[in-house]
Amino acid sequence: MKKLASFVLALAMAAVCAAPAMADNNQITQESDPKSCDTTVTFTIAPSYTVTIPAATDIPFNSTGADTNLKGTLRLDAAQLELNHKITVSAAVTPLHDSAKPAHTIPFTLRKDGAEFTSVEFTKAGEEVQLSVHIDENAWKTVPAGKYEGSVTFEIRYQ
Amino acid sequence: MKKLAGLLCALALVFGFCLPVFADNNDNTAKITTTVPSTHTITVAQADGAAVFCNGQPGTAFTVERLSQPQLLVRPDSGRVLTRLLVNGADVTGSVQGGYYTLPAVYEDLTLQIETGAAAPVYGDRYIVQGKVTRNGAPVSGVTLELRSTLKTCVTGSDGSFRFDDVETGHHTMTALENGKVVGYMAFYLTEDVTTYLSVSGGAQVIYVDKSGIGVDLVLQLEDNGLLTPLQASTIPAPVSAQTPAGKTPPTTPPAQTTAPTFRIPQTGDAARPALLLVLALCSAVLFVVLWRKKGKK
Repeated sequence: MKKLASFVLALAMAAVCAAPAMADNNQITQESDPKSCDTTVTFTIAPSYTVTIPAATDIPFNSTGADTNLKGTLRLDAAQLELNHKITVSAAVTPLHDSAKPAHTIPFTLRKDGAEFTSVEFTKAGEEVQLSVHIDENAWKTVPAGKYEGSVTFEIRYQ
Repeated sequence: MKKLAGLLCALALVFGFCLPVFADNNDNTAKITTTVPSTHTITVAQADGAAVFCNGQPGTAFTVERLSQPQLLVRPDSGRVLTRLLVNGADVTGSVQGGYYTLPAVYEDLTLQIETGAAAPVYGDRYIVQGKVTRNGAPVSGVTLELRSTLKTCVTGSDGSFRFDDVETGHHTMTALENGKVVGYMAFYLTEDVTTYLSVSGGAQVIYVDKSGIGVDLVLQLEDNGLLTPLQASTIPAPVSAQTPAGKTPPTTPPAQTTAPTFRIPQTGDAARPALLLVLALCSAVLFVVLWRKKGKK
């Protein structure tokens, strides 16, 4: 049993051991002329990015102004994009609904600079947009009392 | 030695493992919440010369259920009438009926502003105002009636009867309360005329009282909408005896006047007419005598 355990452990260690990598086969000897050689170094950087989405936001009752801004911005951080590539972020909303009375809903839209938001394209790190929730005045007037919850789902595509 | 080697190998494996770490909300979703209140507040910011009732209860701030349609009653003080009612700055005076205004479904906090003006003066005698209070045709007992200008209060009897003495002509309000809650309201003018009848003028009830009588007998109906509606009016005739009837000021007393007097044209049946006829007769007699003498001289 001990032998078996030792064998398994040895195999595991061998598997995680780093194997030395040798250069291809360019050698310079005394007979080489010229005594120089080229080595091609390939450095591949995989595209990477971080998109920060707004945090959970509570909308004050009956508000239609600046206090409907989502907490935080939609932002592209630490991006290393390939040339002519971009990050497209789109959003889909689920209407606010009263969990106790699902038939009671408050429709809303997302807005950016006063216009309806559907998607945004980022090409470099640091770009951001401030989104806000727009609830129609008539919706506020007619909706019954209750605690409502909805969501915004962001879809991120690298193109 | 083997044990030590095994332990080292085990430690190496433990530290060599990679544990996956996930982002906080890897579903890319932001939660949106809001709370819609179940009540709203109606605040009386300004009520010069008036009292405000909401669903029959007096006050200066009222809490009402969201999307309810509360009934407001604006009762002007003595000698005043409602001139303007603003709800959140919007003028709704035209929608006030009989002192009542039913708010549309309340969806936010509201502020009321009320303005009143002096009621048009009416001059005349003082009369008895009595009658019965009914609801759906049946008399209602135990209802407290408040008559203003000068506050007079009485409680209806078992047959719904009530009586107010010495009620001056002019603008009045009558409020009916049951258990402290307003259940009926009427603003009206009491005005003299040659007969007793009911009318409506400028949205206000007008009760014309026959000045040959000592008062008016009314049948008042408590409506479901909070109005106190006069259905019938009849004259309380003066008693045959020369004594001053109870409840009526002797006719020698000049009518109470609160502001500048107004002119009044004598009408048919007025006491001024016989005197005028007497003067005319005297003038005619003098003229006849003068002409007769002239004729005699000739």
